[in-house]
Amino acid sequence: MQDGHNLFDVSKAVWESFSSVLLKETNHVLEDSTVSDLQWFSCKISETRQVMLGIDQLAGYQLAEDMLNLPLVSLSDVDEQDAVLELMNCICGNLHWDKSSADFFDQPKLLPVVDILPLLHNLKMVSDVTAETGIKRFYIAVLETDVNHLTD
Amino acid sequence: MKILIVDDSKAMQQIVKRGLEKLGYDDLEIVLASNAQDALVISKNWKPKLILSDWHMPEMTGIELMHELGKSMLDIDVGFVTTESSPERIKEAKDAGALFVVNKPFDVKTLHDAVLPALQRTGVKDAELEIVEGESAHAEGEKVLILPKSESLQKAFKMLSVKEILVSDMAAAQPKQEWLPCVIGLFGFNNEKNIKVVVVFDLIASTILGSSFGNVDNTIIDTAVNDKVIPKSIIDGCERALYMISLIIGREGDNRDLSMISMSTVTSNIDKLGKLIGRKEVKRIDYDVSNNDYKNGRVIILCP
Repeated sequence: MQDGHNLFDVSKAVWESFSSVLLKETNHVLEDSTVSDLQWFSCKISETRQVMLGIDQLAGYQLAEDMLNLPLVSLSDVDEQDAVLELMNCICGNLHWDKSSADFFDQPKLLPVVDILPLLHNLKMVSDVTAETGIKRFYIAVLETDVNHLTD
Repeated sequence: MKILIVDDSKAMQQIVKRGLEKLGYDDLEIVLASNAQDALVISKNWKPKLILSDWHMPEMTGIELMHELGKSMLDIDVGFVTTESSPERIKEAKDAGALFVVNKPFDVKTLHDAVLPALQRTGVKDAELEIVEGESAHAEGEKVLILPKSESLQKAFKMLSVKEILVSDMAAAQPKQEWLPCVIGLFGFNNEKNIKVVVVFDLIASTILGSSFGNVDNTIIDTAVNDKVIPKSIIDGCERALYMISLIIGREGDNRDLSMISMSTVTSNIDKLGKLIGRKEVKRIDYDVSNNDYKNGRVIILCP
């Protein structure tokens, strides 16, 4: 079982290994109305668990700036998404779940915003954390998926 | 020094590249590949010394890349930089011959600890150490090499070193973790591949000898001892010290000159070192080397 504390610790450690901006946990609740303001990524970490990351695109750009060591103005959306996907890859790789899933691997992917609310509402929440990088929002959740209904 | 970085993330390619650039090698050439297929083509044409590859990539994984390199008879060292951390996968990588598996995200020191041994070797493979380990006695009629006395060694070092080095005899001992990393030189007679002499410098001896043959800053020496990582400047000095030792052995034991077949570092495998130097039938002398700053470095000379 993945608790929220561990989820935040792993996210913070990975984020701060790449970025000069600290990741701070907040007590904010993710409102449905703000979901579409964020960029969303997902990655399955086992047959029954999925991680979802929502992040302000500007925070993604900040991350890409640090990872690529290039000025913000020279970066494209592709660079930004590449950086966040690698962040997601490292977070998911460092989350420890049941050993039977050790062989499971999935590439993180960008999700259309329209898919997010149904996923957040229909899947069982295992744990979630809201955080901030500077003033930008960062939300990460581990969700229990129903393998019988889950589609790629 | 040619290194190929293979990762489907441009961001991660740059992080690995920056980490390698901090190693301080002047002659580092780094090429980036976004997938294993490109890496294979680059490897065939460019022949890097080392490949640092991600594990999970679309189309072809890092381990599949390793197998393809093997099929193509490309003798290139490979290490993984990956989020893959399952013991089964790490074993699979090691069994396939990977030098290391560094988990993402990593700090620069972790990357350096993994990469330096690969860069510091001059052609020797673990398998070659195993050959030395199992090598038979000298051929019939061959002269037995005479290992130098400590006084001879001290004189030899004095000829070229800029700092004073004291050498005395030392009792043989079983390898200890604190000796690592060690520098190992393998020697044979000219134009022969058979290994006739093995010379081992423990960490302290490596820093004493490696820094005595050139102008190595004291902070570099202290960092090497504290971090247990031998930088290139000290490795270069060790190569000269090994050369000096080979001259003495050659002159006392045989008219033919000994030449270095290869030099390598052993960073973690104390068992391998134990097997190498622990054989009873091997002729062995241990020397204590000291200078003004460091004491009780160990040099071991063996005739397998």
